[in-house]
Amino acid sequence: MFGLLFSSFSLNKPDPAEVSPLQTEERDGDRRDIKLFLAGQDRGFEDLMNRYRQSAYGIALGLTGNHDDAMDAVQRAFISVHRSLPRFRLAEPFFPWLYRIVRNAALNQRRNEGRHRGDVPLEWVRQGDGRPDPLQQTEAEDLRRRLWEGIGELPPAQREVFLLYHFQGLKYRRIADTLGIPIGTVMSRLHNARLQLRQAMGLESES
Amino acid sequence: MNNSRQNREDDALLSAYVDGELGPQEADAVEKRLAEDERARLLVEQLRRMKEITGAMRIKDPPREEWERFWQVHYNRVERSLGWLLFATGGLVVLAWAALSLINAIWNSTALPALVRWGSVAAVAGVVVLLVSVVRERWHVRRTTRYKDIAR
Repeated sequence: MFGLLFSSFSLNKPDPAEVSPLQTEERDGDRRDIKLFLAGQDRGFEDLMNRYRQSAYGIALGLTGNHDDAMDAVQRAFISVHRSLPRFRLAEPFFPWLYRIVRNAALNQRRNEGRHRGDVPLEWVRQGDGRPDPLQQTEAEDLRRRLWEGIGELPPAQREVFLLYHFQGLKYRRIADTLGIPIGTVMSRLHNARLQLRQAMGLESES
Repeated sequence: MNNSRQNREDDALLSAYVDGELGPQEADAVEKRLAEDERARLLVEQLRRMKEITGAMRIKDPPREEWERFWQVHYNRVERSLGWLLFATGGLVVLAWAALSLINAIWNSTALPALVRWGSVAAVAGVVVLLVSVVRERWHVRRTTRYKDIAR
């Protein structure tokens, strides 16, 4: 029954033309900055890239596995954007275009077969002032490290979907648009990534 | 479709359910399944736990000073890449001119035997064919390969 459902499922699909107010605002800001840059003002480029730098860094970090390679990849990607921006079509959304450039730069930069090394670049977002006791803190650190190492072990196609969903906050539809893949593929890649990470994080034994 | 593949696909719907990405009909169908299937309930519980953990984490932003350095380096590198582009273009033009002049000189030289002149022209023609072939192949691979983004 579920097989049939899967083949004809309709995830929460927005109308293809539907764009959220936040996305519209983002697009307007992008267009304004690109036009400024094309008019010869570097400020437009800096504002545009400052808006996306954290996303670009997160993508590059997830794909290269370490801070130094990620910063190098972002640097190369930004130079590439600087050079190619005059050819960018203003009617298109900027993020998927930027994503492809950053992804290519990061994959070219990766020197260690995706093995995530160095300091774990994830941090807990603490709520309030409640400090964990020493035992909880050790567990939390261990979980953080295992999650990061587990992400490094994922196949690249699953890893990028996982990163886009969990650390860039993109919904399935936007991930599908960004990667140019069907929404069902996003769902299955994300699910497979989670199954693998569930083992890496020891959540199977926890339940 | 074999059973294991179907199970994987059914399970993927559980992920979408946890993420709130299913339409009302699909969500109802998943809830019916959860009422009957203990393994599915356990999986949903683990997926929720994982979402809770990843939702409580974020990627650290590099320090502000690092981004300030980043921008200084950026403009230097843009300038340098322009410099390299001009240098490479100019170099290619000069090299092409030198090669043509050399071929011209060899071809028109009465002191050289005909065999050497023909041999030189053949060698240059060979280099041009090789160059065009490599460029064309790389262009074709770049346009068509599905695996171009896979790092070796």
